[in-house]
Amino acid sequence: MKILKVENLTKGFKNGKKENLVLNSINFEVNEGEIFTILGPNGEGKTTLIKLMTKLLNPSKGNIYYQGKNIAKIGEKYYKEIGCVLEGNRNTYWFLSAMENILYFGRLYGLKDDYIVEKGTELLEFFGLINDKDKKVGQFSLGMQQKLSIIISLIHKPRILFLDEPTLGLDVVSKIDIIEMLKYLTKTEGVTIILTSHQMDVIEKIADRVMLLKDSRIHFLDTIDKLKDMYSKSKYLIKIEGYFDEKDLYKYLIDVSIVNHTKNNGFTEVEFYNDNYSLQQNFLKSMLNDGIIITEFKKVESDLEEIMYMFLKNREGNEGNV
Amino acid sequence: MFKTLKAEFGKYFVEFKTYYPDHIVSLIVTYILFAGFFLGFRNSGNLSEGFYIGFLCWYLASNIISESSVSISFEKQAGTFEQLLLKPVNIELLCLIKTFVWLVFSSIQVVLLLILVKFTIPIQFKFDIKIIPILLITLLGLSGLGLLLAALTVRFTKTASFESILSYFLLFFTGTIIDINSMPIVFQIISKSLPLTQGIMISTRILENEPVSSNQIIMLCLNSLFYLFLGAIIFKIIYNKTKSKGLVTDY
Repeated sequence: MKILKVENLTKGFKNGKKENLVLNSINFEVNEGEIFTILGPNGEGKTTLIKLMTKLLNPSKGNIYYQGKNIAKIGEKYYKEIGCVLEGNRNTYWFLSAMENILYFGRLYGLKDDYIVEKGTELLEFFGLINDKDKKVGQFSLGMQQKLSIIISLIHKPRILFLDEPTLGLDVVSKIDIIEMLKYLTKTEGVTIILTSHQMDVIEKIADRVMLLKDSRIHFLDTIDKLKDMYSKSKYLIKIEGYFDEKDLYKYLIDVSIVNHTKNNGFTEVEFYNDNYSLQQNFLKSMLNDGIIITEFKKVESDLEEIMYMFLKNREGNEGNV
Repeated sequence: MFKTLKAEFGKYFVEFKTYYPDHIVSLIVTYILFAGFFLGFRNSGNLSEGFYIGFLCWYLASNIISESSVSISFEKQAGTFEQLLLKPVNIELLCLIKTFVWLVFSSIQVVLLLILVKFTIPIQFKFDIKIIPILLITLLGLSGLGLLLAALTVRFTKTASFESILSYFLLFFTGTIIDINSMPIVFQIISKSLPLTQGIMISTRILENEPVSSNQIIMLCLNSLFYLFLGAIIFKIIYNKTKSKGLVTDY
């Protein structure tokens, strides 16, 4: 079931007489209960899109529908259905304690104090902050502040949770904690999560679907596996005895794109992109003929970061050719 | 609305406790200002009966006008303003609630100020319970001006200079310390159209046991409602335009 639908959404910001188009006629839908990730280089409109979907910005054109209703016409009631944590660590009041923050924002949702304390305690326990509930937020670490912001955004049981770079600047432990907790929330509470992130490791672990924004448009929208299938087919590793510089290897590795080259423990390892079987046969033969000892040759899976890099590089190349 | 009011009272109370030295300093500064004006005007023989009520009206009014904008400026600086916009509470209503909460806390400060003044300056206070509703109607109208300044703060953030101009205008051109009839005609016209001028005038008449007609009170009510609605409409327009430009949270 679709919970959110974005239709012909366009947003531009005027700079004098010129309009800088950040999003240009984009269309997509978000399924209920999924973790939907928005990816893209800096300045490509990820945060703008989050702000449009949360009505912090008005679109230049187009509409956004929540369960079939145009959000522009729902009014403030829309905020009872969504929760949002924006980028940065300033979503809470530093002079209030964790529980005082939860109480303050819970009351703004029109919730009863008893309920806020009960649900707040449950969430504080879930996020491992129960022992810090009376501590001022000013004394919290970045990870604790981020967890508290998420707790506050969940206090009214929203159907959609918007998270803008939720794990940015966090240590590994906090990052993994938050990822695991968000995954658990979608499973147990059915919360739909729409998040932006630069961190590929986070996206890889959490996302059901990925949307890539670039040049004001959607360049890819599907599952991570599809993205990987499209771009990880052609990555190979070759391990040879001895030390070889990259320029020495180009003699053999014609028409391939080397992505990694290391020399270690008497071996040289090269990772490259190429899917041409006959070409591979040729350069392997040439190497063997020249007495190079190949100890390993295998296809390897790319991580998401490499895939994104290739994806964006290919796009730039294609655009340049047009 | 009750829950929002409770939320704001709770937050303000903690803030008050946390930053109590600031409030003590503010009380002392107001006391010095009041004592300076009082002694200065008494020595020059220009002190009217309702001077203290005029001064207190101005004190509350100038802060009522700036409270929403100061609060928005603080929230923008702290980064929490967006979180307020993401809650199911109308932002204009939230501004008015914040102003009301501030009024309650300020009224307590005013009572403390009067006690301090009573014991340190030889002044006779006249008081009539009837001035309280007049004061509340007056301040309601002024909160409309507060919304106007709040809207400017949403758009431009740094509006402290506007607030100062408005505050001093109210001090000198609303009959607080200078008789309106002795001012240039342009200021007289502007001044008489403000709810604060009308409120101070009615309050002074009440304190001096002079008759107040129902027409004067109706005019004050209409005037206050006019400023309140004007402020709310202008806020809406500026806020929506700022939202389209994407400057709501800029600091």
